[in-house]
Amino acid sequence: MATVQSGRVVLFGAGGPVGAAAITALKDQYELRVTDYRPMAEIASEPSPQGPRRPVPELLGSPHENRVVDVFNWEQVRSACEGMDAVINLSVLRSDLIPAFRVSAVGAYNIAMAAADCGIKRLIHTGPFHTSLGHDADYHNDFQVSEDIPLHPGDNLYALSKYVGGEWTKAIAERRGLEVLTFLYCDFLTRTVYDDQIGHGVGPFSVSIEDAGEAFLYGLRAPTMPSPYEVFFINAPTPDQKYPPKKAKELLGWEAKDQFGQLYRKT
Amino acid sequence: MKILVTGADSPSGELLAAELGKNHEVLAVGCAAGGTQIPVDLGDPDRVASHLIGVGAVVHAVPLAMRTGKGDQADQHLLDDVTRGTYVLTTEAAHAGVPRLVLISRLDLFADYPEEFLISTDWRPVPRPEPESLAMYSAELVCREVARAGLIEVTCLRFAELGQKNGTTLADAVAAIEYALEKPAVEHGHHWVLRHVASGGRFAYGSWQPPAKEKV
Repeated sequence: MATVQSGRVVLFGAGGPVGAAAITALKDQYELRVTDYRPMAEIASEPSPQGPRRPVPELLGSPHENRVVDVFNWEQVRSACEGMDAVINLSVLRSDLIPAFRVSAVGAYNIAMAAADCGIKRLIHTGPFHTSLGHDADYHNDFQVSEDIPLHPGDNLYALSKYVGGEWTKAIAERRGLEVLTFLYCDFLTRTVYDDQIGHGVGPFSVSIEDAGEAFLYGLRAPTMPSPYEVFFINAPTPDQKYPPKKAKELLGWEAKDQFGQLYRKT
Repeated sequence: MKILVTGADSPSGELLAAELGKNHEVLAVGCAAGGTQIPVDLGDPDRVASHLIGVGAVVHAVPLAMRTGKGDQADQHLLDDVTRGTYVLTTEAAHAGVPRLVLISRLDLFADYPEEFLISTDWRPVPRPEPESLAMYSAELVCREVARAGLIEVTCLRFAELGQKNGTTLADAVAAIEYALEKPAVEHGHHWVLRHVASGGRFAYGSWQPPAKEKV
């Protein structure tokens, strides 16, 4: 049984806004091992590099643990997985060639292999769903796109390196007894709607950062999945019918609370 | 035609480069110095770009030649080197206007299907959760996705054991590469073309054969 109702969870790449939201959602339910490439104390003391509307992770004390982990380093990843009941991989580096492959691809390999080695059954992997990649094989012009379609990252470094990491994770899940839930995101908003956003519309693949964090709780507690690798759109069910998040509701019981009616309705 | 051949520092890559050199001007590159090949770090875009000047096609044989090194992080470096190197090579070739790349992959990606199955290019690869297998698979994924974006034509040739009658003979391997270099890769509008090339053994069913009239 891969369901993790309680216990110990390790988060990789937890220093970003999604990590901050995940920590908030999980800290009272699980014992967390929070890891990032930089010390969490340092990250928590600075404003978010992604802007003032993005949350910064709370620095947790005991019984939680903070640890520096470079996901490219096998020994560090393996050690961080020891004694854990579940794993969440939030690690990503988007635009620099060498770190993009070492973090987004090889990091994903290390995390999935370490989870399998440690006998962990549930891994939540994360990645981007690019709604537009500038080539004709992307899904920019489609509607009612479903979660199980294969991604077409083209030559985009961020999309392609994460795609490879996801495919490796899938191969490991299928052969090593691991159950992987992959959460895909595109645009992040906040639960607070700001005046300058009202009436300006909303992207077709948007979620509040708070809802994104809460989805991890549902992911950990969801029943056994139909297959070893299941992909979920983590977005609000906006009425444009472009990327409807059906599987998250059906298999996880999760639905975004923030549905952005103030943004896509005329004022 | 001037052809850049990667993986030429391995026995298989060196053999292929030598055979192709009979009909083409071959620029053989490898990770390591030695023999006739030039050492090139495929993960270095500037270095790769400098070797693509005047090149008419690339034969990317690194997946055929790769092997896990020793020491800490050997698996991680193999995965990184092959995947990032393939990305850099493919995108830099596209930027340089090289119209065609031939990727050499392996039928090992289907080894875990039951032997009685008649495997063809319509079958999904099933890489093992091991670095060599995953690196080979990722080389295919990277080339396929860059090709899918319409940036370059890629023909992927999957070989069985090279130089074996029950695998892929050297003659058949070279014929398949020559055909891929000669014929436009775009088939039915696709920039990514797959061919299985097995001279004998379990993967011989449905293997690509050079058209009789066009045999090279």
